[in-house]
Amino acid sequence: MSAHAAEAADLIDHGHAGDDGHGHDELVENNYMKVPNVKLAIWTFLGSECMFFGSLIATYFFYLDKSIGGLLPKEVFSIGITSISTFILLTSSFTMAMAVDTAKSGLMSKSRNWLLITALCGATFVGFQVYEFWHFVHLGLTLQTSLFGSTFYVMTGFHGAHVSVGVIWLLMVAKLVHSGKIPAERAVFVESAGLYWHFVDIVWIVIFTFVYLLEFAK
Amino acid sequence: MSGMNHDPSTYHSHKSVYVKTAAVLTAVTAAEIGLLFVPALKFAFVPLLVIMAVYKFAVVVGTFMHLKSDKNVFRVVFVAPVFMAIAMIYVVGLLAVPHFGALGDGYVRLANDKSHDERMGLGEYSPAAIAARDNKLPHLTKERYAKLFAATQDFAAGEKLWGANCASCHRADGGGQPGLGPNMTDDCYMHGGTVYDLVNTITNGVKGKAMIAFKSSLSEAEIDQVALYVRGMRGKNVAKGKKCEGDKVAAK
Repeated sequence: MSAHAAEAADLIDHGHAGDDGHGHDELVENNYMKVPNVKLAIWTFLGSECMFFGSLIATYFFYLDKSIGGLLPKEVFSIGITSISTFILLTSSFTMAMAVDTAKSGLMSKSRNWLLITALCGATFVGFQVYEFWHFVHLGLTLQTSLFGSTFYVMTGFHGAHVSVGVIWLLMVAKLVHSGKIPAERAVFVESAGLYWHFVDIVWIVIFTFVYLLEFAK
Repeated sequence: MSGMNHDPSTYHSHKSVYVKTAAVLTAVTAAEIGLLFVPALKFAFVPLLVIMAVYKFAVVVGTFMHLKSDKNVFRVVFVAPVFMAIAMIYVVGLLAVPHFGALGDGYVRLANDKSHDERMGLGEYSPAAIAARDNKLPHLTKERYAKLFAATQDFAAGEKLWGANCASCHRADGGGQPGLGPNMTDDCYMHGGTVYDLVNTITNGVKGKAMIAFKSSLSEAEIDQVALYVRGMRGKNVAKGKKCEGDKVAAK
């Protein structure tokens, strides 16, 4: 415990050392609403992301069953493989929650480790998606093949791109936590990355259920 | 530093809550997938899957993202767009997908949705309309086309038309694509392999298949040119072409 306390104190000192004495609090505090600016920004951004993915999902359903040729969803989807990647992404939401929890408790090296595990899960998920796309193209479904191909790749591709951006974000936060630039006092920066990460997970919850599972429930 | 900064000494870990939440999420996801293997519940698949997905969504947002116990302003900026997105998906689905849940009867068909017309047997793609249009090219004969093919040296015009109209389904080199156009470089044809047959197929399309009619987008001369080019492909057997579909004809 004393080791942790010493570490935390050390990191807090680093935080102070980086403080230029003024103008720093404006970065994290909204004096009107009494919430950290960065968190408000992330939540607002995630609100707009709902509309973004909502439109992609709506487009997918708009064109579902309207392809005049090409492979059908049922002919390319593999529930086994997609289930595995879904569980991995779901697990990463838990590890992300732990990264935020440990950061808020002042256990920064633990938080860094949880962040790295989360990033690894995310990278694994992206790897599964790269394999899935490669496999589908091999079967004969490309972006140009049919309405299903176009809408499916654009929708899941944008989700995969979000996961990839999330992995980079988490690695950057992990590095800042490791170097002490994000001490426990500024755990809100870990929390913000976490909000984005959980959002990417809930988008997948929707896509997995409504695009993949419903296809097999019909 | 102001009081806004987080104080780790007053923070109580939510670890046990997170572990329980993760277990619940995993169990619900397993139930979702497992559901597909219980045919007896098929009638309830859609509502059960929707309920479980909404539950998972709410648990992640409420517990992992703390929205349940966080400041009101976060709920406003996030939950409002969630409902806007749901409304958007609902309305677009209502417009477009005939079997979108229980809303099937309410959909509005788009005027220019030919593929849908085709499947529903409506409008210009109805079997009756196609039959009426399908003149069998009476002024043209197999013999005429056989002579024309024998005399043709230059396929450049046909090749250009192929790239613009046919390659997207039959592949640029004619090897065909799974689920789309057949291989045009083998010796197999589903609707006849003479130039005359090809002109007929290109002109009128094939009912109920991806092969659309080109009579409205290409001139008769252009259809002749592309048919001659396709006939010239026979027997090339390009690499990685689709397997033989239809009847085998004698090579060249």
